[in-house]
Amino acid sequence: MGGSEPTSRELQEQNEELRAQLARERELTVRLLKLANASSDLHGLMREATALLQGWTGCEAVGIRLREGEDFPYFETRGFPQDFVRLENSLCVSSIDGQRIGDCQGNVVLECMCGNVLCGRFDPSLPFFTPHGSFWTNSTAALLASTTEADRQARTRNRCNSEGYESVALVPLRSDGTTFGLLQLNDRRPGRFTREQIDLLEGLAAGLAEAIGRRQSAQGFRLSLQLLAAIRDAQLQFITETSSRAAFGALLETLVTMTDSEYGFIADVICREDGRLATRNLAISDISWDAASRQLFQQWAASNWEFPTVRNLIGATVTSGRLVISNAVSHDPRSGGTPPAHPPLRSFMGIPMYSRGELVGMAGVANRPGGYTEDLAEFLTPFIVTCAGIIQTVRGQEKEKEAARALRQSEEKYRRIVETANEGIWAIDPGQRTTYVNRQMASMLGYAPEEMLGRLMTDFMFSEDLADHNAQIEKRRQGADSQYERRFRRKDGSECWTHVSATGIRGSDGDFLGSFAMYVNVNRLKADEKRLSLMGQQLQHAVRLATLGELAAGIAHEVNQPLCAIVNYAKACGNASRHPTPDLAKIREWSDSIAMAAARGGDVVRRLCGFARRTEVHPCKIAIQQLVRDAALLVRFEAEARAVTLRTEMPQDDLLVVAQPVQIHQVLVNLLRNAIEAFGHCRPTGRRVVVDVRRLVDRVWISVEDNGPGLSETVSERLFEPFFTTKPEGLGLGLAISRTIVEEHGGQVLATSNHENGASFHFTLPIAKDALQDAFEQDGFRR
Amino acid sequence: MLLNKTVFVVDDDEELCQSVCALVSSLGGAARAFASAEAFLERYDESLRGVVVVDLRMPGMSGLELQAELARRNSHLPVIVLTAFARTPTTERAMKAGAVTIIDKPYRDDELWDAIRTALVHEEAAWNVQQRRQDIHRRLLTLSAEERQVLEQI
Repeated sequence: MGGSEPTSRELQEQNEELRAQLARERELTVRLLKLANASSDLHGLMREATALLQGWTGCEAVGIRLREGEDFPYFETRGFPQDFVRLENSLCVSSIDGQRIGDCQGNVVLECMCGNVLCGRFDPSLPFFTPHGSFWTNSTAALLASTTEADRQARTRNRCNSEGYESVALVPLRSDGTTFGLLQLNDRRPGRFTREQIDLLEGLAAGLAEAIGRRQSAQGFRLSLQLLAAIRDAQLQFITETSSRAAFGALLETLVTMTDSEYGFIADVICREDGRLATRNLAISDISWDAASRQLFQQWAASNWEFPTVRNLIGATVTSGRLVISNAVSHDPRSGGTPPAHPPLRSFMGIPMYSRGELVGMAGVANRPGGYTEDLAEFLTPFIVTCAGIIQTVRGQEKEKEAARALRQSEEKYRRIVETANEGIWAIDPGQRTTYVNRQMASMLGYAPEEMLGRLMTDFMFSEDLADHNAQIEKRRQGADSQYERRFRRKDGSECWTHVSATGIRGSDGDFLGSFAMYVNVNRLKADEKRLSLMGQQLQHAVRLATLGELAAGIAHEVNQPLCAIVNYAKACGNASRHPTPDLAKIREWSDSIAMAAARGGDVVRRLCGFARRTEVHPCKIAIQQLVRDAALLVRFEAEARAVTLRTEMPQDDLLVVAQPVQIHQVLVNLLRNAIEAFGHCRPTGRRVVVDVRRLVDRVWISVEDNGPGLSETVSERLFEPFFTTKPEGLGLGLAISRTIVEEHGGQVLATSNHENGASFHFTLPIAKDALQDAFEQDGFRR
Repeated sequence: MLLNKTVFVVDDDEELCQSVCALVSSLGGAARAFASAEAFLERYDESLRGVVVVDLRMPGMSGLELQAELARRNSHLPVIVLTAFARTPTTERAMKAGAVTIIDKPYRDDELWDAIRTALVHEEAAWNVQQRRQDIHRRLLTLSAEERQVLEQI
């Protein structure tokens, strides 16, 4: 107008305008406040706010950028062309394939003036920047023409200008000192903005920022609640179904959703046998979308989802044990590339999971639009903790299961051994009550195992054996093992002989917990032993009878002699009694002789019967000299027949031995006959057999010596072998039986060759105990 | 018949020996016991009259051997051998040769005494034969040389 003073009407008009403007501004502020306090969500707020601003400023296009990861895409636009929004959406520097390009530190670079404002790259001295950091121009063309790149603080895309927008205003949205968004107003007409408007917008921006911030908090809170709910559900699933797989699947889904990622995985970390770490996927997004990727999936499944750590982002997470974020994977030196069929990996976040200070697993998510931030990782903390907890629990459970299984297997093994053992197994507590008895043992005694449990071991024994049994138990108490034989009473009362191998059980503090033994049924063995012994005796008896048969001639002779004498004497008596004057004295004498002859005959018969007798049950004390004499009588005839002189050399005083007379008799007869028959055709005259009896300390030493042909080496080796004989009709049992008898009596048999010629057979017998004492005293030993 | 005849009993079994002696004496005969054939031979000479009763089996000289020895000494004494055994070829041969009578022990009833009696009769006969022979021999010795020539021609 003019340079003169404004008129009152002009002033009034100005005032009117000012008031209207203030009113409008107030109205705007109020409406914005209302909007801010309305309960609508963020989207609603944005829509309303942009509409409001558009209406108020009259600008063609209004847009609000909000932070998402590292980028600030448009959250809401009104009036911008679609293409423009698409092209301008991301402020990050990207390569042609859409991969973000980071600076040397891997951080993204925000382009354009928007980027400058957002990053606070401004020079307040420049007119298009406000002190607050906003940018505004009423003519982008003029701006571009008048400034350099440097002034404009690095690259500007200048798309606004290309699009034809002349008026552009960019107001940062700040809260708590951080810029989290941008308010953009564009108009093709130049000159839309005034300084005051920008100031107002900045003020509004503050309010808006706060409203946005509140709603974002609320959103964040809601998200947290969602997260917690998801966690709770997964935990519940894990607890109720004890299926960790399903739980992890649910958790992964939550993770991927909450982080706005394309795909992800949850894995636990294990230490392999070769010392390397590996991840085992517990849940993974199904990223197979074609044949090749499906095959890859199958390959992974085949290897049980186990991946050894390699030099890639996953490996980086595991080996470093720290959060790994890469929002420009293709240019990240840590990246190891992906398999050919693998979907593209643009951004990645690997979150380590710790439980009790140990790295137990990790979660990985990929391709979040806008990239990942540490804040996001922090937001996920409860989630991560839960996963780590579940992994730890699963591990613990697995370990327990493994241990339980191993224990069960071990128990099974031992139970099987014990149950199927051929031997009986019996365990008792210190009070001798049965704590365990296996099937074999029980059936050995004719019981079922249940019938024996809890009962005293002595219930199954014979009272005569109790003393010895208690002695054995005492040994266990002392910690000594032993093996012995024990007789048990079966259910039907019969005997069961067992061979016992017993040991004591001690507790960890050394106290006596009972005893444990293995039992072998030797009943059959015992029966066999008995039978064998019986058969041995029967054999000896049979041989004796056979011997008697062989000695028949001599026997007949023995018996005939007294018989003949009796006949003669009887006749004599008869004749004398028919005499007119019988000689009574003679008759008496001859009658006595008859009696004596009969007695002599009786002796022979008795002797023979004695020899033919079976063995007595108990041995008796008898003088060895008597036995020698009897034996000599029996073989006297044989000796005479072969012209062998039989001699005995024995001490005067009786040497008493404890023996079965019949058996020792058998031995002597055997040795004597052998000696007599040994001569064969050699030494026709001067044949001699001598029985020498003497005492040697505590034994009686009997030798039968002959001066016959002697023993050849081959013969002497095999002398005592059963069925070995040099005689054509011999059985070959005589010496074998003789040795058995002598050894049973506690003596020994020996064969030697004589100096001159012939052989000697010796055997010893222990002297009867009290006789021994007398003998010692005779020798001059004093007790 | 039993006058100045003796039954010589040779047996190592004393009891049996004595019993035979008892039997003989109960019938009024005389008997003498010898424990062995050798002991009897020591006392033997040709003037002995009687019968020899001997056991077959004895330590040292057996009954048969004694009989053979007596025969060698031209004894006229009959020998009765007592044996406890079944007949053997040896004894059979001896029997057939008529040299000896063999009786099994134990003998029945009067078997022994009958044998002794029979033997005594034989002994008498044998003794007579022996005496005549000896007589002839003596007389032969008194013949002149010419008489002997004539005798030989007969």
